[in-house]
Amino acid sequence: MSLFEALPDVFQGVTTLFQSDPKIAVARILLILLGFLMMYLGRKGVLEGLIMIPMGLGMAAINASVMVFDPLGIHAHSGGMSTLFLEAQVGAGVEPVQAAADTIKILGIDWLQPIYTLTFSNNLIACIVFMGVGSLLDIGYVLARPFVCMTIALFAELGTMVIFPLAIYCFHFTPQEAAAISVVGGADGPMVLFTSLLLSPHLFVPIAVVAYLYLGLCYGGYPYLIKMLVPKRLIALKMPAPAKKPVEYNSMEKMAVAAILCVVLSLLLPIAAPLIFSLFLGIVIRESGIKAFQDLVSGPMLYTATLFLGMTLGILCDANTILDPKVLPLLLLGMLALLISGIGGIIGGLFMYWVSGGKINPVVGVAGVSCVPTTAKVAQKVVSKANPSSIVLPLALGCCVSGVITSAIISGIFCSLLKGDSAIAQTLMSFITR
Amino acid sequence: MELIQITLSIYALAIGVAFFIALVLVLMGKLIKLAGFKDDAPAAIPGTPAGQIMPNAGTDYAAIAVAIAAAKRESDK
Repeated sequence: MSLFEALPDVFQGVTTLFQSDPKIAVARILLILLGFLMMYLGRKGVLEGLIMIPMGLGMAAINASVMVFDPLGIHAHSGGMSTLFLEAQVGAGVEPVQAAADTIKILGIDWLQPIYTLTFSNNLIACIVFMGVGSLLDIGYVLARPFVCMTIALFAELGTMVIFPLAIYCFHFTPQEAAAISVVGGADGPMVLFTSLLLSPHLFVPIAVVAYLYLGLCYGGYPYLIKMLVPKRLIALKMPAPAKKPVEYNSMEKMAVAAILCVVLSLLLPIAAPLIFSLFLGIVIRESGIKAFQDLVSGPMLYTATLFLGMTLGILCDANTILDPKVLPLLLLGMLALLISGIGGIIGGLFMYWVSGGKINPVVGVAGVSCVPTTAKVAQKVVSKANPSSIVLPLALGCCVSGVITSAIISGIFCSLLKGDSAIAQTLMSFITR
Repeated sequence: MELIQITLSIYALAIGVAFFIALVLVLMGKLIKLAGFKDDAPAAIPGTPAGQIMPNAGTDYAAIAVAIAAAKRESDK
C-alpha cells in the first residue's frame, strides 16, 4: 500500500465526509458553520458568550473530527463512524452488566467521557451551576415584593403549560417526554437537564442541546419581542419610588430567609431538592460573609462548570444527533415554549402595570422567564435604551429569582406526578393512542 | 378536554404552591424583623479572612501578635 493510498486513512475527518450519507455530510458542514456563527455572535455580545463561545467551538470541532472508530460496536448504522470525544448513549438499550462494562471501557478511551458521565449525565454540573447562580442572587429583591414577582413568574410559565398538552396531543410524545420538553419554557437550563434526566433520559441529549441553544437566543431575541408587544411609552416608563420605603434586610436576615425557604421548598418538592439545595446554598454562601467561599463558588466553580457545560453541549451537537427525526419537533417545541413564555411574561408585566395603576414598567415581565440573570439584564437594557434614567433591574431580578422558584415548583410537580407508571401518566397516555 | 383539564390543574397546583411561598416570604420577612437579627460578624483574630473565626494555616502568627499588641496599645491610650 503506497502512502498516497493510505491518505484517506490519515485524514479521516475529510474521508468520512465523503463516505457518510450526503445528508449527514451536509449537516456536518452546516453545524461547523453554525458553531463559528455562535462563537462570533457570542463574542459580539448578541448571544450569551459564556455558553455560546465554548458551545460553538465544541459544535464545530465534533463535526470536523468524525473518524471510523467504534470500540463498542454501537455505530453500525452510521458506518462505524464516531469521535474520540464522548459517547452520549453509552450502555443505552443493553443489559446492565454490559452497560457497565461499556461505560468503564469508554471512560478510558474518550477524553471528555469522564466529564460527561461523572458530572453531566448525573446532573452534578447543573447543581454546581445553580450553586454559582445562587451566589450571584440577592434574595432581598424577592423579599421586597414577593407577590408581584411570583405573579409575573407564573405568567412566564405560560410556554411550559401550553407546550405540555401540545406535545402530547399533536406530536404524540409520552407525558414524561412532553413534560421534559415543556420545561424548556421555564428557561432554566439546570432545571431542564434535571427534568429530562428524571423523566425521559433517552431524550436528555437533544433536550439539553435545544434548551441551551435557545437560552442563548433569549438574549438576542427577547428585545425584539418586547418592542413588538409593549408600546414605546411604556418601555420608557420610569417606575416611581414606592410611597413607603421598602424594608431593608441585612445579610443575617437574608440568610435566615434563604435557609427557611430551602427547607420549605424541599419539604414540598423533595424530588427537586438537589437543585433547590444547590441554589439556596449559593444564596446562603453569598450572605454568610465567608469571602473565601463566595470567591470560590461565584468565581472558579461557576465559571469552570459553565465552561465545561457549554463545551460538552457543543460536543453533543454532532450531525447524527441533530438529524434524529425526534429532534426536529423538539427544536420547534423548544422555540415555541420560550416564545410563549416570553409573551406570557410580558402579559404578566402588562397585568401588573394595570393592577399597580401604571406604577410598574411592563418590560420587567420578560424577566419572569427565569434564565438568571440574562432576562433581567435584557429588561434593563431595553428600558435603558428607551429611557436612560429608568431603573427596573431590582424588580426584574426579583422576578428572575421567582422564575427559578416557579420553574422548580413546576418541574417538581411534573416529576412527582409523572415519574414511573403513575395513574396520571396512564390517563395522559390515552391521549396519544386516541 | 380532559388533557386541558389535567394541564390546568397542574398549573393551578403550581400557582397555589408559588403563592404559598410568597406568603411564607411575607410572613418570614415580618417575623425575622421581629426577631431582630443583628448583622454581627464573628469576633475574629486580626488577620483572619472575612467570615472566618480562625486565620488560615499559612498565616504569619508573629505579624498577628504584633497587630494585636499594637491594637491594645491604641486602646490603652
